[in-house]
Amino acid sequence: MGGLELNDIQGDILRGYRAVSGAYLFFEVADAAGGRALLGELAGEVQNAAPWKGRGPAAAVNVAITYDGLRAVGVREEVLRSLPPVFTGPMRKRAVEMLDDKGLSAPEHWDEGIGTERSHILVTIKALAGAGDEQSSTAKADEVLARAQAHGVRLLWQQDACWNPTRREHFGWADGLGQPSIEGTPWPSKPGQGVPLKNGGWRDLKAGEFIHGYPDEDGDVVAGPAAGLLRNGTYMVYRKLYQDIVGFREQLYEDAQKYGATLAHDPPLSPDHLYELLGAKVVGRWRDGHAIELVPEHPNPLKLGDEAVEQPSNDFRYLPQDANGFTCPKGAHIRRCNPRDALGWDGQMSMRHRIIRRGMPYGPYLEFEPGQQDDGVDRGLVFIAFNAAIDRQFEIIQRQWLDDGNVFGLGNDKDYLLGDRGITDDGKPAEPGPDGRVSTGRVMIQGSPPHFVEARPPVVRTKACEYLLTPGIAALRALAAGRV
Amino acid sequence: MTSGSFLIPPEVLDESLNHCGRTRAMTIYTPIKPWYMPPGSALLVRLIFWVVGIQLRRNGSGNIGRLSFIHFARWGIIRRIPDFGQPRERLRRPMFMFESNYNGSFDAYIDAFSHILTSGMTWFWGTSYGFPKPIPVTRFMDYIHANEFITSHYYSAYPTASTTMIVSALAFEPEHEKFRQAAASLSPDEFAAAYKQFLTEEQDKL
Amino acid sequence: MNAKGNRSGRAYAVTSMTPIVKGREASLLAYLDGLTTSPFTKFDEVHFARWVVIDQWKFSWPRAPKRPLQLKSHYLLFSAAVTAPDDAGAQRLPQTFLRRIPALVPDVADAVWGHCVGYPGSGDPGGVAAYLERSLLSTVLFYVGYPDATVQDVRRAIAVRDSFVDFARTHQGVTNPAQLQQDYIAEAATWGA
Repeated sequence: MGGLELNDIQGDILRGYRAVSGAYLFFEVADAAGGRALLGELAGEVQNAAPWKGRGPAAAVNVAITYDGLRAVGVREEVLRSLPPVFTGPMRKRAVEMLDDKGLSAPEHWDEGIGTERSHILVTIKALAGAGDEQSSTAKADEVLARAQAHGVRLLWQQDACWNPTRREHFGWADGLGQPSIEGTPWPSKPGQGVPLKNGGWRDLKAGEFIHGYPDEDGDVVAGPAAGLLRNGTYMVYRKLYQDIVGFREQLYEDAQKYGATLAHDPPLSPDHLYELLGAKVVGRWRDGHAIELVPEHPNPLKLGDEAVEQPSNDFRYLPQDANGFTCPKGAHIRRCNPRDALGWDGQMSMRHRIIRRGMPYGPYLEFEPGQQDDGVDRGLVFIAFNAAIDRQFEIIQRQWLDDGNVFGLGNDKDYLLGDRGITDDGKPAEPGPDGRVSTGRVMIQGSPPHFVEARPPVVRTKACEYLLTPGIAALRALAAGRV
Repeated sequence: MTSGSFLIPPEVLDESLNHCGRTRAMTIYTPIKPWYMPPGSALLVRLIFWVVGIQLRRNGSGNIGRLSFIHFARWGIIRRIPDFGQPRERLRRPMFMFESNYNGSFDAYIDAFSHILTSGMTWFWGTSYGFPKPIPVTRFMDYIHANEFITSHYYSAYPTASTTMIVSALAFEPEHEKFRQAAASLSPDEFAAAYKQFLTEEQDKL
Repeated sequence: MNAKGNRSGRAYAVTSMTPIVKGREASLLAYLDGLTTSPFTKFDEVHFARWVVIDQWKFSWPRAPKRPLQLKSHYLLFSAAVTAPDDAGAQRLPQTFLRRIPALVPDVADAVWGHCVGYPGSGDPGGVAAYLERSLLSTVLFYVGYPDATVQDVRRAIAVRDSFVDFARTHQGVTNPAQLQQDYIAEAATWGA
């Protein structure tokens, strides 16, 4: 089987770029001709996935389009009708029904226009390492804005983002580790990123799980009237998540001391050590990136604020040695997001639910300081995921693995990081959702004996969400030429 | 605050559109291909059911049991429709009926059907017209949806309980009862140690 | 009807198909749509139950037979998974369950099956039971995820487990063994009651 057509696939899908900062520009198309003209210009400078020679560009530009955007630039009905309901349905409605975005995460609190029928085109600009710093993405953004204006395309929302020097997300964890390894990519795969094999090794995932036009794990390839539009493209999930950093740190500190009481270490572990340990248990990684499955006891637990580990090993699985979750709890964040072999049958229950993540934090990093108050600054994560089928991949992770614990034998338990929307801000159980579920009130940490962390209201809130298509470059040109 | 509480009265939940709480209903009729069903007999299909039935009846250890997402399911063959004097129905070929009460999104468990229960699925639905094969999954899903009926009323006696929760709870109860019976006769320190041990041993069921 | 296939331990798969009187399908759908309280809450032997209106076999998919079977009437499918508390009770299924329908929910039974051909009305409860029994379809294979557990068993087990987890969570900080023991003995006595 041949490799992937990297020249036609947009680069942000398959590459992390080592970006230092970025800008996400949402546009509203006023008339089809103007929209198409802008797409045509952008197609000329969109970054593809081919390995670059030398140092690479200063800034990378990529383009994605919503269903309403496709309609706005004049795509034929026949093509539009053949696209999946998860993508074509109104985003704000879907977020409430499927992603449990209610309360403070409800769409009425979202960034203006995102998720509505006015949100059409997303231009992502990433400034690359060594290119000078934020100025590159700002300069590029200004250029794109000017072009859009010239074609009568209105800016709906601009979201800036940037990594802090230690490449952590705002709760303090090294992020972006554990991406799926994909068949046909020219760079070497790392063990642990793909599908576990019986002999202890790993195999790459089929490209079709992440890029349309190639066979997926089922041997299926996209077909039908939209096949040309979809070829070498994929679906993108954009989800802006506000993080209450001070709230999280306070709660983790408090929860950690109670965990210490259960552990009853002799001599007792220091409060800061307990903070790091419980943090590692609920996330599945120590803050520097080491997986707790591989490093059950960190040699330097009080120094995790320094540089993140560059390439921590991901070569681990959970069975049979950690079936009981004593090393990495069954409900730990990374174990939920990528169960590997934990669901049994050599990873066959996980392999069709993987996503590529290309997100970036937004807002300035807040240094740790004991007793700090919330400074009221908006900061969090621009979460970006790429997958061939949003309902089978991203939404399964969100709904079945993060918002629920049943497949892991944890009942209604939810992920600690995202928090429990079944608990209101004053700590009381919320009204049951339409499926009748109420909070279990706990996050279980397996062990001897087990420890029950009190379930808490969310410290993460959705501020925007959008489902988009990131087309192949030829498809982008076809859209610009009105040929779709 | 109670944890998990499963006993939300069924009447407050949405009982149409194929789900009730955590549980979903599936109702499918497909036409059986004639060469599996020589007139007057149910021969080959019954043989298939018998073979697969043996697999299924190892409830705990078989794949369906281990996947732990089906509460109750039934398979039937309809060769004649009950006659109450309505215009006579001529079933030139029998219908295969499948009905299930299960948990989890269809998208998630279609993986189970296709990749893990592959041979069972192929045996059963292979006897029906148009069955595409369990993999690729999208075609199988389309086939199921094309032949599926939506419930007009769907009741569950325990809508927020999943199969996994129920099986765990049923296994936990007798162990807990043993512990509870012994509790009063222990000294406080013995109790504290026994409680910690019990919690540790039973945590997978909690 | 192959009664053996319908059973699995003490559980029984009740599946009934009755023809709907011509022209009355819309009325039946409207009634079922309006049922906010399920009548099956009154039946402690019923785990799951459904009413499905079968209007026509489906033949719009690729490779469907060219001369499709067509139903001449619309049908009401009624299906229930029931478990008896003991072997003797199981032997008497499905008849005992069918007799309880006109006895416990005569109004709903009349409102639903009154749309069907030949339904005698709950004024004749024996007749209703016989009517439903005649409408039963046989099951060839019945899978039960938790064999022999009645609805009561399931609810009680879940309540006990829930209560224990709540206790464990709220008493995590109790360091005094005598206090813990006292609390446990007092509270555990009330669980699953």
